[in-house]
Amino acid sequence: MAQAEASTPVVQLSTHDDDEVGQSLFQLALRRLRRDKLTLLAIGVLVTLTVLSVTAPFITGTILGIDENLTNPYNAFLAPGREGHILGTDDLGRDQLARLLHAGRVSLGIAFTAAVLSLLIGVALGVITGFYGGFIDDSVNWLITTINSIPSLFLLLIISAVLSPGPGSLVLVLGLLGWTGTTRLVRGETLSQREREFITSARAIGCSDWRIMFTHIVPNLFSIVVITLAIDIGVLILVESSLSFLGVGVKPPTATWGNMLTNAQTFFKKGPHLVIWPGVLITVTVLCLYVIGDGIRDAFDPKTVD
Amino acid sequence: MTRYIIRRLIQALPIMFGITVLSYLLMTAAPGGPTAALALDPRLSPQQRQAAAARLGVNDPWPVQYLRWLLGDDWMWVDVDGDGILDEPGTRRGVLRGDFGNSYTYRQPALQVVGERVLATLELGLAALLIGLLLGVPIGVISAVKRGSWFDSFARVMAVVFNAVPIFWLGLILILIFGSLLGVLPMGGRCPTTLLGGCPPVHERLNYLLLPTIVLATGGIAGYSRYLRASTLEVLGEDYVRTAKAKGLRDRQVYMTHAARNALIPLATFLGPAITGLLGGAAVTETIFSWPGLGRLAVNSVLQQDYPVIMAVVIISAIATILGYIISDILYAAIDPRIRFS
Amino acid sequence: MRKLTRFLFLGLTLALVASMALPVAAQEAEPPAGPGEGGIIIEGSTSDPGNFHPFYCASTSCLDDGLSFMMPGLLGVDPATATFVKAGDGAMALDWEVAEDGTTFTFTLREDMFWSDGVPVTAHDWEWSWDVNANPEANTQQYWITDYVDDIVALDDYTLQVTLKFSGCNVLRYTDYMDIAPAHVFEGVALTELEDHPYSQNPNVTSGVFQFGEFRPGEQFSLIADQEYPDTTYGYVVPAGRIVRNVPDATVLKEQFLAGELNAFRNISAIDQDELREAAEADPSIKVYEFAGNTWDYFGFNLADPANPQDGLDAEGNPVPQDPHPLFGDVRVRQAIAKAIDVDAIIEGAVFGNGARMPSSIVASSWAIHPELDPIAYDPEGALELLAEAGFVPGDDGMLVATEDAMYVEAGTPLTFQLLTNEGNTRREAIGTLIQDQLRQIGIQVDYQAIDWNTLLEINDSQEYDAVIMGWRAGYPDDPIASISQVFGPGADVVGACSNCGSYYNQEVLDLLDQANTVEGCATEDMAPYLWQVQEIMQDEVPYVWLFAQNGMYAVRDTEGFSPYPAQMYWNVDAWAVTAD
Repeated sequence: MAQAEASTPVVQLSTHDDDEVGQSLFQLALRRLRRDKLTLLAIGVLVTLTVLSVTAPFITGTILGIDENLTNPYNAFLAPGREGHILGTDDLGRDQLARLLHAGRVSLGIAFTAAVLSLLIGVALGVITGFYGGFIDDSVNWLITTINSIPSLFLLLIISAVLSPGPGSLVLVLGLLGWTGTTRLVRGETLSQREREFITSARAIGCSDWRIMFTHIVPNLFSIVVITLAIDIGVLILVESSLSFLGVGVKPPTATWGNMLTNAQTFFKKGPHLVIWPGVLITVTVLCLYVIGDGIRDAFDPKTVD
Repeated sequence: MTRYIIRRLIQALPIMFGITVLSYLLMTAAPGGPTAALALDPRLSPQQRQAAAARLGVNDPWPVQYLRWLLGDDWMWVDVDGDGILDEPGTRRGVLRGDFGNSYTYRQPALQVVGERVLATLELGLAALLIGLLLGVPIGVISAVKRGSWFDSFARVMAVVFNAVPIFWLGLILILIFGSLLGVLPMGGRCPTTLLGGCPPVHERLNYLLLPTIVLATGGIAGYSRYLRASTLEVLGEDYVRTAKAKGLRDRQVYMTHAARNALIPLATFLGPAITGLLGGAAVTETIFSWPGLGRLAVNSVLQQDYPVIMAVVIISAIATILGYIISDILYAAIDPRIRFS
Repeated sequence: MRKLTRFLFLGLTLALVASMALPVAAQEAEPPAGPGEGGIIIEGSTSDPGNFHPFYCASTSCLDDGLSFMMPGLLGVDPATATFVKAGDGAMALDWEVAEDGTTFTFTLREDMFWSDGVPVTAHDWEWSWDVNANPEANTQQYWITDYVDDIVALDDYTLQVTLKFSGCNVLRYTDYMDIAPAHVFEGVALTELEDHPYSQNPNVTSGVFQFGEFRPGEQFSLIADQEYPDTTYGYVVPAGRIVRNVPDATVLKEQFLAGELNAFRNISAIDQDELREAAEADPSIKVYEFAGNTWDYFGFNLADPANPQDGLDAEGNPVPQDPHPLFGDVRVRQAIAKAIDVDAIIEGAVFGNGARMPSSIVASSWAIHPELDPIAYDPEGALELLAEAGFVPGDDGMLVATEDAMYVEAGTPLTFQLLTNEGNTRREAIGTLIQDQLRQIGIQVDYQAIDWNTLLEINDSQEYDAVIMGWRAGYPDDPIASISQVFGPGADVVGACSNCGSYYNQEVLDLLDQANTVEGCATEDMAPYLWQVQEIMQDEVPYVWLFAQNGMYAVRDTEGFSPYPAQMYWNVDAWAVTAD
């Protein structure tokens, strides 16, 4: 947001102006966030889950000393707490806690990466189309209408069958299909920014289009980006689990919360803990993301009255 | 306005073309192919399997298949016995002349296979849309008005909590509780199980509709309430609302006559896509509740690589989506007098 | 959904159609209810039948759940012994004679079987059905029978002559491979219009224990008792009808049965059997029937080089030499892997003990099962010894690496391969995970992946794989000769469309099968010894690691008259009565 090496006074002025608005808005937002206990709680829970998942190999391998792939069919469906398995064992006798943490890594990883990918595409296309309009705008619009007109489930099913299955291809598919909403949003925002004074003055002193887009417009999209990211990650975690249910998600033996939950449905009476934990983790994570998204929206909305 | 609609419809043609080409390309690129399942029966010799694929014409390059699907094959010679020799003119008229082909698995006209499911999907989708609006809109408005209150926090969580549960899990839990444990609702299906007599009118089988509607509506409740909350907050910050308040109008009046109405305007515009979008179906809900809808059909056709049915579903959904956009634009202009058709 | 248990079928169609309702002996008990007063049998199915035309039915759902109750078959099967019988109840053939050449069968048909519109079922129905199915223009699902049948002719109304393309002890079943349709319904209908005929959605002319009721696609279809059906236990059909609900999710389907929404449950997966057994113990209204199942899973090796897949035979029918697979080309490696896989643990983990080991490709219920051959024992030490002999020894990290002695790989190559199975099948996924872990214990790195079903089939057909976990279902009645030659013959090794995708064949095995099939008199006890030899050879050469056959189970609730045989749940359905609503 800050533009340190601004070369001309005029640009500096305009950056300064922008900065001031941004700073104060940002500070205001932080102040508002600090009062929003619900959002803070959600952030706390989410950060904890993320840290646990990201450090899964360390936690299970080094601290707990558990091999998450070690099977023992004669030790299946152990209830939580028995024989050193904190959350019990699954249908093949694998430790559920270790599997859940590793699965969280994959699930969160897929959702986060795919959301970032679609956000990057969405913001880039949104800014460009909003800024230039004309032919580019029309073509992208055509592309968006086309993509939105094909049932997305059909696209997901087909593409995940065409690409070899795995977390990587799933990220690609979800990322490449998920950007249209962001583009529309960003395009609208860019359109309104384009007419504002600081852009006009930047133009007047001969700033390049790219510079205007990246130094003036993009920073103002901060709140949109964060909100979209939070909601999208939540939605994508759910999409991942639905795809597993339909049989086109991440394939075993790679564990995700979605395929663990789908798999456990089959024997939820033998091992209720196998259904409850992945289900609860998905729900809590998604809920936190939704709440955070709303909270940040509230905090950043300049029009909202306190 | 008629001219505007006609123009939009003409603009939709290249989009439709793009959709069909893209879908056909992707569909035929999927591994296996429509005759893959013949591998299940070793009585079929390898030669018979290859001949079966040739008879369906699915061995040809995809542009050839696409053109045949589009234009039919009654103007050209085809290989009917799969021996690689062209025998006689084909019989299909192609999509452009209204012939969507026969489903490979159902061996019925694809359009008929799809058509049977449309009603069931609309029934479930409309019910869910209605519940979503009836619950989502008031929750959103009230929680915006009472921003920061306990109701706001509670509503914010409750509105999304069911939407945060994986839909198949939620469905199964509801089926187990209300169907198995309490035994008060059927465990899926659309109509009572009867030998004859077909499906009774919808008001006689609301018990079948209840659970899937609730599950499907969770998305709408979360979405509409979040949307309404945001747009109401925005409207509340507008000058005219501040003015109304300053003029001494009572809060209630301000919210109802000014704020809520204006906040609802954008909602009306995405009702168009929402209604036609129902045709996309809800594969997961339909699967867990054994609902005979379009979404389930679409998933099965993709898994079985039933090309004619896949394409029929794609076309119906695409037409619905494009119409939805047009309706939405018209609604927008009708509600907001600042916008004119050009 | 996608919990579909998919199998590869071996000689399946015949029995399902022909052996429908065959009461072996009149039951002495009183009828449980009057004609059509025995309530409605309600079952669930995860798939939708879609189409009820016998020529175009493409799913097991329309066949097993629908047509098998509504269409007459040619051959009768005794459900108690699973053998073909003359004048079997419910079947058309009273008697048959075989000509000298062993390929021409002349059947005498019964005269008391009628279509539901009163028209008699005659030999002309077969002749017409053959004419249609043998014509590629009709594009039926059954065109492939022309590989087995040369001609079908009605000599008169009740004399049918079927000429086959082969002779041998096992060819009788080929005479009934084709499902028929009532010829008179389709008079004047052009071949190309058969597919679109309304009969497909509403087969209103049938001949069986049930007639067609109505079909609601994606939802349910119903069958109604046909009181004109001649071969009933009590002189009439007891149940009012049978409904099959389409319940795509297998878990929901099971719960519907347990909650009493369904009263019959046929395809009970081995995973669910413990739960059903417990339910039957707790609730006397539920009855379960268990039997040695005929569906089995295997770990299949690719014996040929996946980098250079080749057909088994060239255009002239001469054998094509296959490059060996770098690892599995050496029989010792295959044997070692078979020893290193703990199948008992897999049965425990994948199906909770509801399965039985197999020593070979023959299921336990078959007449051909080797009486003394034990499955390969779990012996990880022995596996390591064999591997050392084959030139694979533990490296620094404990994982096995090839030495100079390895037959087809350079020294230093790690012993690692890719193992594929289909996604969405809990049982197979568990098998793969367990095998991966077990082989890791002895130092073999397995890259295990569960992939999309269609992708798996394509890779399997392309023969560009190392190993797969898939399954077969033995036919009914079992035809081990055909199934082994179909799955392990050079003619079925065609790149792009194979059932012998792993390229295993042994002329000795094929010769033994031939000898078994040409035994004088065709008595199974004379044929069996040849098949025992085949099983011994194949266990030594390990083209597959035979894993296990799942237990079979049927369940009903509040139903009288339920007395199934293995693979025959509904043979006496005409005598069933559902006692609760």
